[in-house]
Amino acid sequence: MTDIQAAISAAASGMRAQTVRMRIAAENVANASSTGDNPAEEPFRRRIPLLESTALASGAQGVRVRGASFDMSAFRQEYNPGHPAADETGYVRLPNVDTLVEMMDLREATRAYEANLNMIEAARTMTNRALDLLRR
Amino acid sequence: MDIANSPFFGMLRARLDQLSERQRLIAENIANASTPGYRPRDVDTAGFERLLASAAGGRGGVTLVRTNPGHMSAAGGSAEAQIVTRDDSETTIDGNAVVLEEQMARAAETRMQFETGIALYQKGLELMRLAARPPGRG
Repeated sequence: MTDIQAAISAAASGMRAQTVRMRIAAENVANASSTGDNPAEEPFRRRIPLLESTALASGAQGVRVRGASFDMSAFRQEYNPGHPAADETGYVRLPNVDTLVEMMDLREATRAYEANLNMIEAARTMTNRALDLLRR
Repeated sequence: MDIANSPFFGMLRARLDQLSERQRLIAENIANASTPGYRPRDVDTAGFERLLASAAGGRGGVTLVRTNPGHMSAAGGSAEAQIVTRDDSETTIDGNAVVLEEQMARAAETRMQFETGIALYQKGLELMRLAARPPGRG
């Protein structure tokens, strides 16, 4: 029975990690056009969640989000001389967020979340079946 | 008579233990479906089935060889399953070898086998009850 409980805790840790991942992707999408106030200020930098495998209290090998790191790739540039953040050549630096990539990431997170949910459901059914032995 | 350790119940119990352990490993694999470098684990079913087959052939469960009278006897269904790393069909660029679909299929398979085991256990209990019933009453 402890194995089944460990299965539930592992799946729960997976759901938690995927939720954090979704939150970070949502933040990236929300800030896809957040620029600085002046040419010196950097626009929003895309963040990437760092997932890592970890041993849980139940003994299961779960997962946790170690933190988020910044995507150090180049910013997008757009010609918009009237913008307060435009440099002397008239270009504005925009966040290095690609909404398409974020959408893919969101989709994958949703799928993993559902898979974890299914595992909890399966563990629950198995426990119920075992408990049925007591009912008769 | 020790019912819980009889060959039938003992073997079923070992089987159910193995299946719930497998379910735990699958849950871990799915939880780590996006962890870079993670490689899925599974119970070495081939080895377990071999042990189970030898157990079924020898009537009792798997027993340890007693080379010294001081050794404890390990009666009934002590088949130990080993945990192995088993990559799924694809490995992503970040080194993660979990394929959700394959794990889900494995989880469904394990669940069905678990339910079969429980049903057999139930049937065994029913037979015990039948045997314990006083004669002449329905």
